[in-house]
This record gives sequence, C-alpha cells and structure tokens, in this order.
Amino acid sequence: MVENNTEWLPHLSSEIVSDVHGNLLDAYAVALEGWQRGLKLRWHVKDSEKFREMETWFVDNPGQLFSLTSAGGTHYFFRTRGDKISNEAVYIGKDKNKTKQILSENGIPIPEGAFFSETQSNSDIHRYASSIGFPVVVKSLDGSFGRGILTNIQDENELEYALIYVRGELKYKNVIVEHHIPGNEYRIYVVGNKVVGAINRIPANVIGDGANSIETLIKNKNKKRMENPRLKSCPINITKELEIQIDKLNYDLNSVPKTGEKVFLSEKSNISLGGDPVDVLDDLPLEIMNTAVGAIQAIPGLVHGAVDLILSEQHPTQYGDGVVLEVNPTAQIGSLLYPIKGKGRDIPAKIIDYYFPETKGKGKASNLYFNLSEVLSPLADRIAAVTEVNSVEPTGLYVRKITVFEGESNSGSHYFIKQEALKNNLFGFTKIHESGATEIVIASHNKQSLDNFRRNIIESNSIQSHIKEEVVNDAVQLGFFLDGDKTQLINELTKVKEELRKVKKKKQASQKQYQKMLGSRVWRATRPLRNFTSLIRKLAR
Amino acid sequence: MENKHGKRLPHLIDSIPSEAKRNRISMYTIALEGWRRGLNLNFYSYINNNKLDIKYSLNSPGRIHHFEGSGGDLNTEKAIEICDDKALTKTQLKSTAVPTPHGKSFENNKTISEIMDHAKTLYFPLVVKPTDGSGGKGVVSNIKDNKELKEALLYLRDTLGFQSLIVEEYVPGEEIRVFIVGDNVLAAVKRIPANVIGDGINPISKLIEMKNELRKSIPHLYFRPIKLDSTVKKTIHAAGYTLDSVPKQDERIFLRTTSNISTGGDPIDVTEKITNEQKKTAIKAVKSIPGLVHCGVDMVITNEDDTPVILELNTRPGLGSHLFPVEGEARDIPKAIIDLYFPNTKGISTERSNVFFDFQKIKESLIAGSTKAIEVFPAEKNKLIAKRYIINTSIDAIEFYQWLNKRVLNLNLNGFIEQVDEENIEIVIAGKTENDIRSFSDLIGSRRFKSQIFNITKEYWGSPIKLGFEIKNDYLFKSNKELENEIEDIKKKMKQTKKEDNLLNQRINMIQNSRMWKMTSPLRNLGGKIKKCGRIFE
Repeated sequence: MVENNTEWLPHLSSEIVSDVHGNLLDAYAVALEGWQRGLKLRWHVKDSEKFREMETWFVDNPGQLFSLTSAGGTHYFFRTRGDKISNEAVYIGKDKNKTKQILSENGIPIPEGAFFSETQSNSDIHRYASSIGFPVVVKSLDGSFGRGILTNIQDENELEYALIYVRGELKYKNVIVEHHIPGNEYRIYVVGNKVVGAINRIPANVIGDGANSIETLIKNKNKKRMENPRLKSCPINITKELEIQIDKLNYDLNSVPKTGEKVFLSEKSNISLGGDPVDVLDDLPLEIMNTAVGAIQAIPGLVHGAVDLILSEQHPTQYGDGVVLEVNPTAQIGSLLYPIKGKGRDIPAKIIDYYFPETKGKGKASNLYFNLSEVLSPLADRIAAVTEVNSVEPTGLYVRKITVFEGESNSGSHYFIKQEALKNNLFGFTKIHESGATEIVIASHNKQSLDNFRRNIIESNSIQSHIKEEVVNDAVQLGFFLDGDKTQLINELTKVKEELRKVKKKKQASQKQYQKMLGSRVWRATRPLRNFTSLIRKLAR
Repeated sequence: MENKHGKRLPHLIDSIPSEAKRNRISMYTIALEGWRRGLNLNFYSYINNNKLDIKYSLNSPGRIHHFEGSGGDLNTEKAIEICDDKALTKTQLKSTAVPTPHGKSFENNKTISEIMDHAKTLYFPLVVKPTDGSGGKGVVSNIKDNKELKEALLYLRDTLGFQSLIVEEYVPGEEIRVFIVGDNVLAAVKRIPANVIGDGINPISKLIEMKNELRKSIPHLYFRPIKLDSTVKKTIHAAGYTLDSVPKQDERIFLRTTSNISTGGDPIDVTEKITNEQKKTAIKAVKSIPGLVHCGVDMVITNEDDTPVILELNTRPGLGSHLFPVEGEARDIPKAIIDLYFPNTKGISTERSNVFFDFQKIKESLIAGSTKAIEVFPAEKNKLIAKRYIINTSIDAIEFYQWLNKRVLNLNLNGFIEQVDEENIEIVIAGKTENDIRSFSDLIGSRRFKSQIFNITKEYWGSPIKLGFEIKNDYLFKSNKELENEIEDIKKKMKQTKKEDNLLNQRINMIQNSRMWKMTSPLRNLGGKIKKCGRIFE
C-alpha cells in the first residue's frame, strides 16, 4: 500500500533497486551507500579473504558478501552485518535461550519463560505452563522467519497440539515456553548507542470497502505490495492458517467487510508472512528506546543490529518498558527503508557512519547507482572470486538529456558517442525512439566534461541535425550503454528462444489433445451421424 | 607439413580461449602461468589513449606485481620511458658503445630541409621512423635517394602526424627478435614471409589452404591467415608459378616479400643459432638502460660479417612468436617471467596442468562499465578428471543448461554443454575426483528429465578444462545485424506457432461444444471403463 503519506529515501528509489531481488536488497543498500561516498566496493564469493573467519550462511550465490575500503582500511560485510560484530554475538543471536539469559542478567525485560531441551517431556512443559499461567507462546530454539513459533496458546489442549506440531512434526525438539504478551510489536534498529529506525509491525490485514470480498481485498493489497521493493517478495498468501484465522472472526474468503473495517488475517506480525511495517521512529517512547539500546549493548561484541520487542497494554508494571523478544545481528532492514506508512530511515548511512566515520556527512553521488547483476555475474559464473565496482567521486552529478532528431542512428555514430563518453569519464545511455530520434542521457561529476561531450557531439560530423537539450534529475547507472549493444541483443535472443520453446510446447500439447479427441472411438463411430445432421441443417437452410 | 611446425609447449595446447588469441596472448599466458602456480590474479581496466584497456596483477602474500602485456613493474618507469623513445634509446646505446645504425634524431622544431641537410652525412639506403611509434608503425625503409627521403619525411610529418623523427642508415641483414631476462637470452625468433612448402602432390592453392588450417591450430596465428590477394598472386607469378603449379617435395615457395606475421608471415625459432657474440651484444644493450630487467631486443645480424646491430628495445614485446613458432622449438617465456617476479614459486611446475580460465566474460565485464577489477577464481591445484557425455534427448541444450548451471557449480564441477544436433547434446564435466563426476551422473539420472533422455554414452575427456560451466555458442562471433536477423526469424516462427496453436484450440473447442460430443460424453466415459476392464481380463 504505497500511501500518500509514505516517504522513501530518494537515493534508494524503487527504480534504483528494481533489479535487486529479495534477499540481496539489504546488502545492496549498505554497499551502495558506501560506494556512493567514494569507498572502494568489492563483492566476494564465499570464503574469500576475511569471510573465511566470519560467520555466514546461504552464501553459495553471490550478492551477500562485500567489502568496503577507504584509505584507513577495509571492512567486510555479510548482508547488513559488518566485521565489527563478533562471531560470538552472532552465535548468541541465533540461540534464543542464550539471548534471554544474557538479557535478563543485564536487567533487560524479557517475557517470563523457560527452556526445555530434548530430554524433557511434554508433561514437564504442561506443568511449567500452568505455573506461569496461560496464554503462552511455544517457540523452537532455532527456527527463523516465524517457523516453529505458535503464539497465544490459551489452554492445556492448545498447548498439547502446539507441542505435537513443533516438537513432533517440525522436529524442533528444543523449545522455549514463555508468557504470551499481547501488544504492539516493534522492530528497532540500533547503531552504537542510538536508535536509528523503528517500525511497528502490524499483522497481515485488509481494510474493507463495503464492496469487495476478503479474497479480492487480499489480491488488491498484494498488487500494492508489489510496488514496494521490500514487500514485493512477501505477498499475503492464502493458507489454511489464514482461513482458520478469519473463521475465528466469523468470516470466510467470500465475506465482504464493511467500509473502513480492518480485518486481521494473522496473529503473527512477520513481514514475510504478509505483515505491514509502519514507521514510528519519531513517536517512539524514550523507555522503549532505552530498552532497545540496552539489549544491543548487553550482548558482547554486538555494536549494531535489530531488536524485536513488544509494548504490552496488559502488563504495564511488569512489561511497561517493552519486552525484548529477539536480538538480530544480521537483521533485514528492507522494512525500515520501505515502510508502508511513514518515512524510510537511512539505516545504511548510519551503518557506514559507524564503520567509516571519516566519510560522515560527505556529499555523495546520490543519483548514481550500479547494476548489481552485472557486477555479480562473473562471481555467479564461478569465473571470479572477487569483483570490484568502478569507484565514483562522492559529489553530486550533473545530468543532461540530449535528444537528437533526424540524426543518423547508425551504430558508427553511436560508438562515437560511447567513445566520447568514455573519454570524458561520463555515465549514461542512449535510446533510439521509434521515430528515429536518439536520446542520450549523460551524467558527470564534472560540468566541464559534460560541456566537452556536448560540444563534441554537436560539432561532430556524424551528428548534424536538430538537437534538444534538457537538464534532468534522473538516476543514472554506472557505465555507458548503447541501445542495440551486442550483450543486449544476445539477452534478447536468449529470451525469444526461451519463449519460442514454450510456445512450441504449448502447441504440442494442443496437438496431442486434438489427436486424442479425433482418435476417440466414440467420436469416430458417430461421424456418419454428424455428417448426416449437418446435411439436414444445410437442407433446412 | 606436420613434421615441419615447431615443438609446442604441452601446457598451452588448447588452453587459450579465442578471445585471448586476439592480441592478448602475452597477457593471457603470463597470467595463466602465475594463476596455475596458485598466485592471486586480478584483471583491471584503465583508460589508454581514450580507450578502455586491461592490465593485470599477480600477488602472493606480501608480494604484488603489476603487468601490462608482457611488461612488468620490475622494469622501472624510467627504463620504460627510455625504451619508448627511440631517440633516447639510441643515445643510451651509443654512450655504452653498443652498435646501432648510424643516424640522427630530430625534434619537432627541425624543418624538413634542416633534416635533409643533416642527413647528408649518412649513406643511402636510409630508414625513417617516428621516435615514439610502436609495432612498426610509420617505419619507412629502403630509402634510396634524396627524393624518396623527402617523400618519406613529408609522409610521416603531414600524413601520419609524427613530429619527432629518426633518420638512420639501413643495415642489410637478417632481423631477429631476442627475448632477454636479466643476463639470459631465452629465445630468438625471426620472421619469414608467408610461404608454403611443396609435397610433390598438391598445387599451391591447396597448399595455402592446408597452411591456413595449420595456422588455425596455432593460437597466435588463429586470426592471421594468408589471404589470397593480388600481391600473393603477383609474387607467385614472379617466381614463375601459378596457383595450380605443384611444387616439388620440400620446395619452399614464398607468397609475399614482406614478413609481417599479420599478413601470413611465419615466426621461426632461431634460439640455437644465435652466436655468443650476438648474445653478448643483446645483453649489453639491455644493461645499457638502467632499471631494465627484461625486454625484447630487435637486432640485425649483418650480411657482411654476422655482427649484430641493435635497432630497438621493447619493454612489452609480443610473446606469440616465441610461444608458437611455425618452425623450431617453442620457448616458455611466461615461466621465466613468473620465476623472475615470484622466485619462491619456482619449483611449482604447471606443465601437467589441465585448467585454464575464461577471458571472454572477464573482458566483457571490464569494458561494460560497472566493474573496475576482477579477481579470477583460484585455480585447482591438482589435475582435474574429466568425462564427456553424449546425451540423446528431446531436451535442448539451453533448457538443460538453465537447469544444470547452478547445480554443477555448487558441486564444484566445471565444463561445458553444447548442442551437437537436433537430438544430441554434448556435456563435458570435470571434477577433482571420480566421485565428483559420479555426482553429476546422479544429477542427469534424476527423475527431472528421465522420460526425455533416451541414451547416454560416456567417455574419458583429455583436453584442458576451462573453469566454470558454459553453454557454447557462436553469438559473439556474429555481427549485430546477424543477431537482429536471428531474433526476427524466431519472432516469425513464434507467430506462426501461435497461429497453429490457436487453430488447434479452435478445433478442440468446436468438438467440445458440438452437441454430439456432449451427447456422447457418457458413452466415452463408459468406453474408458470398458477399456480398463478389458485390460484386466487380458
């Protein structure tokens, strides 16, 4: 839901990240920030250089490991987590029980609960749950993305079901059982001793309009989520669980909620399960901020990361300062950058400030970006172990759009354009319109070289025609791209070949079906009859 | 002709990707040698004469060296500057009594008539060349009189735009290129004009074809065939032959008078033929330039008395002729260079290595504009084991590739896939152990494609392996126009196929909507059941 009251960061526009898929968004946002400040940016395959010692996971595909270098030295990053965070902090973050223990030792409020290992029986758990009182939460010790977590368990029966599911079916034998604390869920990002971003996570929901069914409302909401770089990979899925949830509200998928009525589709607030992130940084109570900063500082070796906490309405005395559920050293920041409501918060800038304080406040090339898949492709092909992105100057860009009408659009003059661009260290691209006009978007840190280019292009013999020039503020990709470049043609060729293959397959299927019908014995047997009836029809006419 | 061509370096056979064969042989072979020894290899882009170009570096812990072509950073910048300027080189050589042709250099402030005046002290024939030219560019030789001299000077100044010039005496003799590292002459090579050698059976036209086949098998000459142009025909006629003449066994027929490799000339290794005096002079020439450690020395062995005269020194000489001579023995210069720069890796032999790295994609990435540098994925230390699969299947190579690519790479396997014909795909797979290869066999034996694979044959594969997994195609050798045409053709085919599909669907709908089809539906269902029953009773 891209509402009017949403304000994303201009240098991370959806255009800039349009080619960056799902789990690469975090790494790209942080890497881009460092690169735009003029740092040297390199992307790595797994186990390259310092990554051999750093704790990482799921890194067979490139795009999650990068390093940034200034004159002062190099820092290595796995997604949003840099090398100033110790491996020990990562182990603790992964172990929910250990996290709780350390937080509690440091006086950070956590839900009352206990850990049960493999050797302990379900009846042990039942006894404990009764002693702290329902409702409770059962969560696996090492599940993530909401897997193996069952909340709001009301009684013994539900608990038994939950234990069979989590310990039996999912085989998460080690579980934590703790108070279920109803309230607002927050994800808060802390760098050093400062809260730099906070969102309220609201469970998946739709708002009625008095006309559409819940199913249609979900479909419409998913369409809007598609426009959000973070949410496009997490639509609201219609699952058994979702149907059970709306059944509790006496609805089904065909029900039509009243105008303005908010229907919650889940009890879990995970963004990956369809939850809505709403920016609340400016209104975050001081107690909550302190709790979040305290939680990060409690974990040894953790200097930045996310804290998930709940502010309870029901237990103001016990849990009034917020209760910490989890601490995440490798947190996703997409929902803080692209909230559904409120302002996107510049977490990447704060992380880079922390690692490279000398670049703090430096101007940056904020409308320049680089093509991630191009830089990653030698790594993905296992040809390279490291690729370095061309460095840029940390200053603003001058961008011009020059349209050449009636010009010769032969590739000769285009290569001339590219050569002129390279010579003057310019970025941009050409685009040939169907009318034959050529559009050149050209950018540079240096106004002088832009003027040089302009003069050479206009004065050159290869382009002598009517020219229009505009100052634009477009984001420009690193490099210079010619319309009709060979790589583009090869990509196009691969694409159409693939399409042709699909079309052929479809035709083969149709052919098969048709032959089968013709071959059907009954159809063949009734042919004389069909001929006869058609004859009658013709005669009747 | 087989027995005539040079003894090759076994570890360079089939190990040079085509993209590197085009003017990148020196860079690629030195990089390959270092990489195979386990050094880190980086390629990076830089702007050279307004064009994006590529340099590279090799490093081991605590030691890094940068290279450009066959030149490296052990040659000091000052030494490179002297060698790039033929006038400075000449002065330096003269001051240390190294023989060079008599001559003088002239800055841009000297007029042509002033140069002519000075040249009076020299004996014809003369040579005129720019002081900062490279690769023989702008060299005018065999100038016989003042008239020709004036023409040559005007040509260089006005047409080619070279201002600083050298005028020197032409030294008659055999020109050779000597490669020197430190105190050692490692190789010497001469060039002879394009030629064929008779076998008493085939006519010259056929011999040229055969020679071009041979050239195709030599990386350095791959893109440099003998072109059958008017000059070649004239030369053959002048020697009293036609294209249809059949030269006698072992008779050599020259096809041109110039010996440039690019127009079909042959590099011939003459390392064994160099005299000690010639060697000494070449080494002395290198020593006369402070900070010069390795280079190519161009010298003339005079007809008169076999004494050497030094023409120039090249800090980035092409290695192709030394590595891939048409006659004589190949010389492993890359090995010597890496030994020099990384002496601690001297003991690591790469002669049995069967891996090499892709250059196409590296080059493309570096010139695309986003990527500044690429560190090549490290080489396998041990020899890889490779198998070749021929798969008879209805799946085409592209579909297969898309499914296999990540899986193959994640299994740490390398190789390629290629569509052989409509029904057959060739896949070459290489891994560290037999077990690794077996995991690939399991992959293609998996259920995913089982019904579409009809037969698989397996055999040992002996050629070197390019790291990574690629689908072979010839797109890169096609022009943009050809690619556009292919795209158009496919779009047309697609349109046609869609049309046929629509037609079929119309017919299917017609049948399905016909009254008779609806009416007979119970009957058809029954028919199905009867068929099933029938089977039970059979």
